Amino acid sequence: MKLLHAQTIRTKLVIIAVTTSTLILLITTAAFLSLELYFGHQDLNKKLSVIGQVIAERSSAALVFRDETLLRNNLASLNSDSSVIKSCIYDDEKVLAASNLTQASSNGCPQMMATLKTNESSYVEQYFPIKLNDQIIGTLYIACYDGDIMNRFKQVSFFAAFILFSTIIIALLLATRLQRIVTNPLRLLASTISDIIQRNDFSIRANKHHDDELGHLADIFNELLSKIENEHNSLKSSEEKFRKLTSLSPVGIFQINPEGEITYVNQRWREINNIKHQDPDLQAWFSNLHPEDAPALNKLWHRLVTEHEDMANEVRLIAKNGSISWVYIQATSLHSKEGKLLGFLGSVSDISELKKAQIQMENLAFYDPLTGLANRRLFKNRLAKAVKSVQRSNKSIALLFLDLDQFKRINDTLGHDVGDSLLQEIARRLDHNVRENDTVSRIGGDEFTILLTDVNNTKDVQIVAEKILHSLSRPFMLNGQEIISTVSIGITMTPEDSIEPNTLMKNADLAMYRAKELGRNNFQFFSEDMNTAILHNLEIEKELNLAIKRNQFVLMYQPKIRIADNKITGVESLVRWRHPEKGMIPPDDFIPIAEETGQIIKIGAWVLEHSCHEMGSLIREGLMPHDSKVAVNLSAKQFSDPDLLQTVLNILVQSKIDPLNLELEITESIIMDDVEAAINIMETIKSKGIHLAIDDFGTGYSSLAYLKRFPIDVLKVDRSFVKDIPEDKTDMAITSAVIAMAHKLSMKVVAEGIETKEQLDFLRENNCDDGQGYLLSRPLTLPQLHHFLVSNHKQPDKKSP
Amino acid sequence: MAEASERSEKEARKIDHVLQLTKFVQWPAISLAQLAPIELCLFATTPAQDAWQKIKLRKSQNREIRLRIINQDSQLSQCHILFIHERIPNSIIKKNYYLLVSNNILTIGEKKNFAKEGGIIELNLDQNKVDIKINTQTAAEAKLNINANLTELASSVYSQGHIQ
Repeated sequence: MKLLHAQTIRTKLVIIAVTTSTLILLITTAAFLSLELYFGHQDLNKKLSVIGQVIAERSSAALVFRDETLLRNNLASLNSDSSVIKSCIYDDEKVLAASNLTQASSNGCPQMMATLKTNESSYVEQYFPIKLNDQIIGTLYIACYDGDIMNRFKQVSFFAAFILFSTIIIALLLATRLQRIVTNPLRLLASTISDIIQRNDFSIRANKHHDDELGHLADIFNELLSKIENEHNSLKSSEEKFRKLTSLSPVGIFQINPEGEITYVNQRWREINNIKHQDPDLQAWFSNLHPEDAPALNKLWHRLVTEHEDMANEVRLIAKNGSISWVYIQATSLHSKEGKLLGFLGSVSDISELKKAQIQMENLAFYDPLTGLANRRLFKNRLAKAVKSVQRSNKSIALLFLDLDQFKRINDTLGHDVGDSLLQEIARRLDHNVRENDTVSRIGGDEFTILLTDVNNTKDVQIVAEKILHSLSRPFMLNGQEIISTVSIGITMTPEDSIEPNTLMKNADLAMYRAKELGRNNFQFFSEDMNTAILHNLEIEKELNLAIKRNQFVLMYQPKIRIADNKITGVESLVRWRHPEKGMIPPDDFIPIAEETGQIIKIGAWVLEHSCHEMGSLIREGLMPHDSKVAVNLSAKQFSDPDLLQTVLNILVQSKIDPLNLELEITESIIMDDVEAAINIMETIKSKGIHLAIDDFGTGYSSLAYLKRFPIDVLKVDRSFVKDIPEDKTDMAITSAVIAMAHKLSMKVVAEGIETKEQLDFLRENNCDDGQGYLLSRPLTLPQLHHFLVSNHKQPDKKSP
Repeated sequence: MAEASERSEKEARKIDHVLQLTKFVQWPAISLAQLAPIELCLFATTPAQDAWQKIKLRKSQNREIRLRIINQDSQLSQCHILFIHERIPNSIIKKNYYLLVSNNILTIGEKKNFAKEGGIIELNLDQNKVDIKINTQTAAEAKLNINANLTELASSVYSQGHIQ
């Protein structure tokens, strides 16, 4: 069978056809010969049977009457058949009556039928009963030799063998001829495939010769070719598109085979890598990498090649002339459908311009555009890094927080351009006073920070701080003007004070505020007591929340007396905190904290509401004049609260008092924070008929230019001016000037802190309108006020309670 | 004694042969019904009648054989077989020819030319050899069917009826 498989289809077909024909013929011949033999014997038996029956029939009378002659004659008639070799007739007693033998007979008929030898292999023998009137009267025995049959069989066999041989020869010839019907189309098909492969031409088609299975095979093959041709064309088209696209692409494209050889690059790749004509080489390309970038790229490339992991990286390429360009390289592996590696495809983009822009962006992100110093973000980064590094060394780091003193005033009065120039000049001086590895940054409007690294002790820092103060103390010449600007500096040290950057910033800020408190233009090191103050303030803040909820505030009223006739003109409402444990807390201990936390809005509203309500009652009771006023202090937060006016109007409605009976006191500093906005707010309040007063006048920086624009009704002279009357002549001069100026501006003047008769006399002489102070009345509770008013009515000339 | 014994044996053989002959003859059914006994007639003048008596013990064609001794021609109509001894002249056939054929009687005679002269079967026992002569014409006229084997065995076959 293996031998057969090794043969060509042609040989196989011939072998199969001849073998099949031979087998069929052999079987047919064997069957035919067997039948021939069988029918030969059957014919002989039939013939014998017929002859035997005739002879037996004819021999009955001869046997009855023992006519041996007739019996022998009857038997002799069998001699005409050469196959009969022996015939015997026995009577009813099985005794031989007659016999007839031929020469071929080897032995004769025995006398007794019982001794007759039968069943000889080469004989065909039969017994026939001889009957008379249905009674057997004897037996006829005939034996035939089957030699004729065998001879005939041999002849037929010989003829069949001849036919068989002839047929095999014919089958062989036919098979050899017919196999071409199958093999020729196959050979043509194979030849077509060879042509396609050799010419790489998928438009060639196989010829179809017949409409049989081979014709169908040719059709299917042609269909397959059409598909392959379409896909081939599509592939070529895609490849053409790919080439065109890559040639037009602003990105460099490269293709690498699995062996690591560059097989394709587009024009842009050549331009980026400055390789004009020579064949691109991967090793040569990588040799142009910047030494700092090469290890990372080689690592990624190795992972791409070994693990087929996509890569992307920014690297620098060094050109032959030494110029450096930034490129972004991306690469991925290509695989067939079966997962076989086909190579690698990648792109190279020149990102030099992008990098430049990125650096600019980073500068914008990390540097202050005005001064060129590091901004808050960069400073915080550096602080965080420095804090980490300082923990690994014995050195310290100092964080200096600088805030310009009165910068806002300079900005407002001299304009923003001058302010900006001042900031730039300050930045320059600061930078000049530190080492190269120290960081100076501008973190806000007029706030600067300095990070001093490698500090041995606080003495080093103190020297730098003093240098800075000294440097900034020199006047600045800006736009032809000499400007003096000072700074307050807060200093904190790490790791001594903290190792947490945010805490350090907070510490420095606290220390800076302490420096401000201590008169500005100085530096202060952070200390724990600053933190203690913070904690105290936090506690107050918590307790204030409870106080608001539990209504722990009470109001005191300090009467305002018209100096000319000692008549009461109104009261100033003063809030006190009746702490369940700490007793009565003065406003200076909690109002600044409430102001800082925003709780002042709620407290202020409470004060306003209760003041108006109680004033309304007093007026309605006739204890207070109809035109008297209750003065309520507004904090900075309240003043800038957009809901202020609505809150005030609501309270006036609820307490049923006239707006003329309310006077809102605003400190000079609140107004001066944003003069224009303050004027707007004041005019709105004034438009509702509510009076406005400037509190603590003289302590701020109000200019007369502004003052005349303010819609103010009352000007309250600060107690600091009144306090030293009559000892301080300057204060007396200022006070009299203020009174005169206010009157010129149609404002009333109220003097605060009148404690002596001399002070009252001086004020009266200078036509001060109203006064308040311990000489006239202390702050009173409502019942005390009630009593005061009643007494005042009865004793109108009484000067003090 | 020897002669008498020889004669007796010859008679026995004769009777036996007559019986065998009857097996080769077929009577018309009208004259011999199925399974009806065969009536064998002898003229009263036939010698050795005792020997013939034994024939009654035998059968032919599965029929009984009855022996009938007749002495008048009119009795012939009762016979199926009429054996005519050699002592009786063949003229009796001629004389009763129509009676014999009309009654389908098989006539068996010993006298020379019996068949030739109108008898149906002439039986001669010579030594051990049996010689039979048959007149097929008479048999046909008597509507008797003689087996061809017997006819073949016959040394002479006559095809004319009785001789005028």
